Amino acid sequence: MTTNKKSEIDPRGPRFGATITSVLLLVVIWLSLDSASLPAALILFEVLAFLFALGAVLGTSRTPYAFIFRKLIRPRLKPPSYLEDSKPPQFAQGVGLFVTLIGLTLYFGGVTSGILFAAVAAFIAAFLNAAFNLCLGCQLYLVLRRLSSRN
Amino acid sequence: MVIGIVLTAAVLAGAVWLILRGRVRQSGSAEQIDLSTLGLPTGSFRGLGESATLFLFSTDFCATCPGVERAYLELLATRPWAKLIKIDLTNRNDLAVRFHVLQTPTTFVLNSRSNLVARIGGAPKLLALTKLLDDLAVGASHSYAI
Repeated sequence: MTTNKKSEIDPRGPRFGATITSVLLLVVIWLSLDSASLPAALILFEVLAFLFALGAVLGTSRTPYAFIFRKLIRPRLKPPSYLEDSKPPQFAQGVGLFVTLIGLTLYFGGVTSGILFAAVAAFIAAFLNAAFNLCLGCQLYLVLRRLSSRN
Repeated sequence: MVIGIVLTAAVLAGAVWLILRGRVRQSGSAEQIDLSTLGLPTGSFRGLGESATLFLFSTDFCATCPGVERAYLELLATRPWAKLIKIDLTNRNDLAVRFHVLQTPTTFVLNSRSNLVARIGGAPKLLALTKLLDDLAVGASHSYAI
């Protein structure tokens, strides 16, 4: 998940991705509320898990979101006032992948509301990133590592 | 209905975070920080500020740390009696546990005797930090005229 090569990215790129992610997660939440549309929620949620995996493995600058950002959004913006390291958002995509995988595991284990709960958790994180520029996964790296080192 | 509750919860969480983030919390105990545990040389270590030192704890996965560091360097540019020391916790879980650091960036403010006078979780409220630093300079009677 991590590479030694330090690469710098426009910080507005991951934020743009987080905006799309949070909208799609809201759609998942809405679809998962009705058992008739639950299969649709599952498909969209799986797509989101795949997108999180792309971001976590390849980095946030090689996702479809980043492609759209570069082609359509960035040409209309001023140059960024600063660049940021690509590692934190990539790590956060991994956290997003982890949360969506928990939801999918619960769903296929028979707990169909797992999708709703995981989508709510992921939505809050993506929304905080998009609206408040708070990278929850990054912020909590030390907490997450302490929890994982106990097991 | 559920969408509304989720959206409200997210906005509230963000608002609470904005309010709590970066508050300069003065430490009552003024614990003396043992510099050797941080791998810093003790004695007349030149990296410490004359009146105040900021310890900035970060990791490779901290998105806001470089910005906070830039803000500190700008703040300290006119305050030569204060210094900044960065401590990378990426591979130092022991230090994170020892100093109860649960988020990055976390900043410790030390006075001239290496006592912890305040800690800041998250990107700091710069006005409060500036005031504290200037108070420390006056307290140590190294007031600095611009």
